[in-house]
Amino acid sequence: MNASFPYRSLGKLLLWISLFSLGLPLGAQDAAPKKNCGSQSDALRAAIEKQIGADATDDASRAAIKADQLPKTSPTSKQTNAPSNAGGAATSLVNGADFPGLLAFAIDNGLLSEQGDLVTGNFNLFDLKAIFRPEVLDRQTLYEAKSNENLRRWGIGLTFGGKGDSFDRDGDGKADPALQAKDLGDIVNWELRFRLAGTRDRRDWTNVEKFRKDEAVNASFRETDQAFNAILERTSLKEKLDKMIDPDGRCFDQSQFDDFMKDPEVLSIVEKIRINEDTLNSALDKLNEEIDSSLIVTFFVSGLERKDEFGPSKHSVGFRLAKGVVKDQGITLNADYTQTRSLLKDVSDPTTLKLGLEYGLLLLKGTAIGGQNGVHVALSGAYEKYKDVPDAMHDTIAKLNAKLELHLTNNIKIPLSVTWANHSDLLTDEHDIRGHIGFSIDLTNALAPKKAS
Amino acid sequence: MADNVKKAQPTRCDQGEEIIVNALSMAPDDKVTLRLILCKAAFKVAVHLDADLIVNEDAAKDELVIHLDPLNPGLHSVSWSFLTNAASWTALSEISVNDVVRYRQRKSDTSRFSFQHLFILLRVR
Repeated sequence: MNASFPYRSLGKLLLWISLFSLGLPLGAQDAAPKKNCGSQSDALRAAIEKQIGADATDDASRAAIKADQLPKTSPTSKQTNAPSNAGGAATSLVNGADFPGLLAFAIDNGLLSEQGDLVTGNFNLFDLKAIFRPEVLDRQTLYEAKSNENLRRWGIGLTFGGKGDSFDRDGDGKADPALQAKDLGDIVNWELRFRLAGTRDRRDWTNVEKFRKDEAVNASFRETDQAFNAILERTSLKEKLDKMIDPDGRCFDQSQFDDFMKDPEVLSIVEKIRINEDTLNSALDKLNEEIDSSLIVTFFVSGLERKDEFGPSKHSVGFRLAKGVVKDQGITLNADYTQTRSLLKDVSDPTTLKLGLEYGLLLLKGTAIGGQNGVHVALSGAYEKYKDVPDAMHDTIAKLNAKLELHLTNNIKIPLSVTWANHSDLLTDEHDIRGHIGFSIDLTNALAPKKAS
Repeated sequence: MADNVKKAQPTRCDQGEEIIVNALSMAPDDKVTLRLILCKAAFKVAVHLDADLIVNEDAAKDELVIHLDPLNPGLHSVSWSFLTNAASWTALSEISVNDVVRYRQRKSDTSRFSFQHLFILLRVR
C-alpha cells in the first residue's frame, strides 16, 4: 500500500475546491435567481404595502396600517336577537328594526343557532329561495331583482325552548319556580316581520344605485386606477417588468423585481397610489356609513306559544323603526301591542301597549378594551300601559334602561343592565333591585358550552 | 342545511383552477378576450389596454367580456381594476387566446383590499 495515498487524495480535493472558488465571488453559491411564480400584480401590491409601511415612521401610523390590513368587514344590518318576549334574560327595552338580509350570513352562521338553552332561527323568504336557486345569491342582477328584494322584506324569527314564567301553578297562593323547557315544542317563540321601508343591504338596487352614482367614490376610483396603471403606461418600466419574466411567461426574478421597486420613478408612482387609495377608502367609508344608517321601518306580528305549565301564551303586533344618526350611533323606536292569554277561566286576557325608544352607540371600537366589536351602549326608555294584568299594581309604567354589552369574543358577549322604573314592582327582568333601580348581568351566553364550528 | 347547499353549488367564480402567468405570447391576429366574472356584488370596473382606458363601468354586474382589438407586434399590457363596497364578493379574471383560457386568477373578500388592480403583459410576435 502506498502510505502517501490519503495525503494525495486530500491534496486533490483541496485543489478542486480552490479551482472552483477562483472564478466565483464570495457567496456565489446563493446567486441562483430567486424565482417568484406568483402573480406580478400581487407582488406589486405586496411591495407597495411594504413601501407604505416603511414610510410610516411613527408607531401610530404603523398601527393604523396594521389595522387597515385586516380584511374589510361590513357593519352588517344583521340582528340576531330573538323576539323580545323570548325566554332568555331580556336586558333591553327596545328591539331592533331590521332582520338578517343576506343569506350569506345565514350560510356562515347556519339558519339555526344554539344560544344557551335556546335554539334560534332568523331568516327571510329569500334565504329559503336561495337554498333551491343558489344563483340568486351569486348573480347581482338576480339578487337585486324586484321580486327577490320583496322576498327579503319578509322575515321569520323562531326560538325554541328556554324558560317559562314563575307563577302559582298548584293554587297554594305562592309562586312556583319557572320551569325549563324539556322539549323544543314546550316553548315556541315566533315572529313574522315585514320591512315596510328602507334597506341597509348594500346589494339591494337602491344601494347599488348609490354606489354607482357616488361622485366621490367614482372620481377616486378613476384616480387610483390611473395611479396603478401609470407603471404600465411607461414603456421603460413595462419593459423592465417584461425582462424579469421567464420566456414561458410564468415566473419572474424576485431580485430584479425588488430592484424595480427601488426605481425612483416607481417610488413616485407608489406615493401617488397611496394618496389616491386613502382618498378612495375615505369616500367608500362615507358611502357605506350612509347606507348602514338608512331608515328602516318594520311591521311585525309575533307569538309566544307555551304549554300551560310554562306560563301564558302571548301574541303581539307592532312596528319598529331604526335610523342611524352618525357613525356607530342610532335610534330605534318600537310600538307593540301584546295580548296575553289568561290561564284562568272567566278572566279577561291582559293586554299591554308598549312604546320604546332606544339610543344606541358603539364605543371603544378597535381599542384594547373594546376590541374589534367595540362596546355597545344602549340608553332606552319605555312607556307601558297595562289592562287587566292581575299582578300589576299600576296601569302604567315608565322605565329607563342603560345597557352595556361587552364582547369577550365575536360570539360571546356579556350584557350589563341598569333599569329605573316609576314603580319597582314590575322590574321583573333584573337580577338585583334597589328601590326603583334594577341591575342585571347576563352570563348565559358567556358560560354556554362553546358551539362547534 | 345551507352549508350543504353552499358546498354542493359553487358559484361561477369558484369554478376552474387558477392559471397564474405574467406574460402571454401570441401572434398579431390572435383573438384575445378578457372575461371578468363578478359574484355576489356590483363592481366598478376599469380596463386599460396599454395607456388607453377601454372600459369604465360604474356598477358592473355578473360578467364583463371584453374582446381586444388586434394588436401590433411588440410588448403590450392589459390591466384592470375593480372595486365593490359589499362585504362579501368574489371576482374571477380570465384571459383567453383564441378561446383557450391561458390565465385565470381569483380574488375575493379574503383580500384586505377593496380596490383590486391586476395586469398581464402581452408579447405579440
